[in-house]
Amino acid sequence: MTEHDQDTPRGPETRLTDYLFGALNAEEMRALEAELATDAQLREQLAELRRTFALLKADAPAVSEGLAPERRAALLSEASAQPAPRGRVLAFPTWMRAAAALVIVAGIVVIWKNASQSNPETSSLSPLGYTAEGSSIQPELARRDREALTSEPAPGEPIMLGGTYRGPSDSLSPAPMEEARARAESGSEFDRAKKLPEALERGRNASLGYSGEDFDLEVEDADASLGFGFDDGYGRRYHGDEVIVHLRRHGNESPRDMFYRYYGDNAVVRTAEDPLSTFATDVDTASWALLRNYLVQGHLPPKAAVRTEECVNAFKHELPAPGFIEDPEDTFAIHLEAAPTPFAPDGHLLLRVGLKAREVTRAQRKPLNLVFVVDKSGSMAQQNRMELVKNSLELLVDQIRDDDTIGLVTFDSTGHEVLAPTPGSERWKIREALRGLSTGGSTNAAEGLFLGYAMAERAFRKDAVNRVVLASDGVANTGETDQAKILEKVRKSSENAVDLTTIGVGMGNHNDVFLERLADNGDGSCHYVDSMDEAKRVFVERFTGTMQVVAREARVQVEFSSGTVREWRQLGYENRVMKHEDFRNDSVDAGEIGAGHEMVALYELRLQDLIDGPDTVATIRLRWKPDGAKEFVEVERHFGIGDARSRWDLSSPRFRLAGTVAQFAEFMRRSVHARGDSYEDLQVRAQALARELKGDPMVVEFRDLVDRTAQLAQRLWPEDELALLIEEARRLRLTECELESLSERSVKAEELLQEVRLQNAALERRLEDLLQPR
Amino acid sequence: MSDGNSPSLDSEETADGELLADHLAGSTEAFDRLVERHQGRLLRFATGLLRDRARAEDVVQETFLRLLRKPPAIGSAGSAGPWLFRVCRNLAYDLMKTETREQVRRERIEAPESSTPDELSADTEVKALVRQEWDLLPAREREALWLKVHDGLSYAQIGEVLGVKPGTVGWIVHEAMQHLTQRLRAVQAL
Repeated sequence: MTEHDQDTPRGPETRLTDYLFGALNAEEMRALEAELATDAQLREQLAELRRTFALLKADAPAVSEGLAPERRAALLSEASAQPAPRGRVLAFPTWMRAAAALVIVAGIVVIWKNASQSNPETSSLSPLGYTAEGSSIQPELARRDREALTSEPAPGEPIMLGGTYRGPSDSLSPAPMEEARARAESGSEFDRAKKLPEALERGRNASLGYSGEDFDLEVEDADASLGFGFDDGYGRRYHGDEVIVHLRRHGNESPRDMFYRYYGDNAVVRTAEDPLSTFATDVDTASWALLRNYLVQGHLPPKAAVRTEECVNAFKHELPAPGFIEDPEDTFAIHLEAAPTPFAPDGHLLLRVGLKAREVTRAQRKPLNLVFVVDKSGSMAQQNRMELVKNSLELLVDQIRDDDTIGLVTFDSTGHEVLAPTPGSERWKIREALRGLSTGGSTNAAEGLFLGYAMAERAFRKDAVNRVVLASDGVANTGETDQAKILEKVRKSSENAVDLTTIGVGMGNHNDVFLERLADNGDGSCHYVDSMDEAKRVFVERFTGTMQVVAREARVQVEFSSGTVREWRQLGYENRVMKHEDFRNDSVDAGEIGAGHEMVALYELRLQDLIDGPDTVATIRLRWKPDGAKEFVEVERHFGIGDARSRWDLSSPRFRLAGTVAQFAEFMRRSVHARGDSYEDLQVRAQALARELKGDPMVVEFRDLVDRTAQLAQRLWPEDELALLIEEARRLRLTECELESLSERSVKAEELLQEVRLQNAALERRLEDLLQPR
Repeated sequence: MSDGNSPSLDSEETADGELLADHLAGSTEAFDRLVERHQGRLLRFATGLLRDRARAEDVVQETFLRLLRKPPAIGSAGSAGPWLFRVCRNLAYDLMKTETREQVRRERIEAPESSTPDELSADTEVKALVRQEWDLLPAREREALWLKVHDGLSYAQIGEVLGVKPGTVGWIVHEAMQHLTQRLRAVQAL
């Protein structure tokens, strides 16, 4: 039975297996047999392999010889009818179960493609034939058909919403637009890579409540400033005309930009239009602690406070460090895993891109030059914030070595230098200085930071980690409150290799976005500490990673293969998106990753119904500058469909945990993609995970939090008339935007556009009525 | 192998390539012989992937339909085996994709209750372990090993099914065997 595969180089490690399976050539075989004769250990290994083989062989499934007679008969009749006209497929026998409707789908698509090629101007709007005669919107039926058949990449479907949006208001799903799609394929109006980051920037500015020079510190609820806060979970706010203005297309917005502006979520992207996902790494975890704190106190968090990636990254992923497969000297180990996801309709995979940075031991790490910048303003007296900060920093002091130095700056209305950089060998001095901290006055964060940076630069050591640690409730209200200017200063200093870690405490006026952006711009990390447990996690368990960066400016680019992946969507990292062309532009700022840190990025992929050709799902590229190095390094990994697990429950528990936490975060941020999903399902999964991973207190805590939130969760998507109308208007506006984005419109598309515009005008009038002050 | 109808081996019979040519020339019987020859191994393969006989039959039937409609170009002495396995595999994955969500819901995601140890003889315990570990292998390793153990395909043929180089198949198979062997060793050490 053997044919030798000797043309392929294989290492000596595989030779026993090769021998067992007869894949060695004669010479190799003789050599091995000679060795076997003298090496008892090798013989034992071979015997073990044989046992395994025998067990496998014995476990062959008992399958009777062939297909059921009626199936074979059906095949024969098909064979005798060859060559069959394509159309025969449609009428093909009823034995085909609904679940195995692949043939039918394939057949229809073929027919439809032929039709559209032969007669592009008059062909029907959809491959499924449900709008054969007209351009009218026939939503519900169309949607059901589409879902029932999980059809082929349909010229008919809305670009962005794909099959992912599954809200109760789905009934106004935009009608398919075959013509529109056909034009879009040829047109080049969708220059997303370029436009998206700009849109994101706009979106961020909006969510921070300022545009350009005006920084409005008072805005706490990002939803409100995004246009209207009708879905903010508590206090509803409707802003009348603003709602209407917000719904309309702004300037030359692309559909994807519009989607982001509406929902603040990453859109579902068609691979054919944009196969690339490029983003800066982010290992922050602050959002999870913040979210937990809100929920424990019985509130739903504001949408902008929930960052999916930070929630996911707060959990342990147990990714092996480099050295398992990679060289132990490598900066990263990359771990890829995928499985069909239960949180999306059929045909969707969840892909996890996991990075694990190399470990650095306490003894190996560089010495530290730390400067604490502590907010001692009046607001820090509330809820024991100051006590928490002091205790946290004391924990940190426990971790330092004698060759580290620590300085202390405080600020209220002005900044004060409290303790010049002091070596770890005199840590009693540091403790004393920390214990002497008291509160009072306003918050001049800028001056505190400037002083802190100045101190860190004075004590700057080239061989050390130079870092400012800012602890604050994050609301600057005196002195320089212009975040942009503070950021500029921070950024300038960070080029001198002084990094920044921010520690957020307190709630209410805790300006989380402010601290996150500060940290991002200061090449640092952002933590939110709400309890001593959390402080221990950040400053004891993850201390070295928090302090010592191993990779700078790290960015990831995932390229999906359009032959395999029909649509993709990144979960989280909304404000970390980079322009595609900046992936290899090393002057563009990206993310820092500390020793031993784990980072996980998740994608929901909708696969092609029929995968033909190479089975690559995605190519993952990681690019970074090793700490201390001048040159960037880039590595690449491939992930094929065969590498995916066949079922969700066969994937690793930590993979399922990441997916489940992400789903929870998506719920909490009212992600449009999570609408209509089942919270109960999530609860059951969290319970199962907590049983399976009961040794991990965070997972147990996660389950408790999910349970505790069940009641609150009912308020996530208010379903009153106005909210539903706004949903409908958004969806129609997106359709309109898609149509308008086409460079040339066919007669059909023009008609459809007119129709959509009419519907939009009507909806707008209804909205206006509802929004009139009563 | 054991069933004696491996396409690559039964040189005494008419080669697949020839049968396919006959079929294209109008011989329904030639096609039926191809079905006869390959259905058993494809069914076992698909059942292994899908763990369900009925759905495996769906997939195998569809595989043969593909053979009818889009016959591959194989030489007159060539075997249709790798092509059939490849198509069958792709179809099985397609089917799994469409089913997963519902299926998982039905199974209520509870971790499967395993029988208590004292109910099991050592033998069944090992068997259960083999199955469990088998299920945990990455799909690619499972398939490659399956084709090797149960169908006796060469590395080159497996490579053709999976779309990888023969050398890679060697690695994949080796990894899978190592893993299973280690797990078995660990259990027997207990």
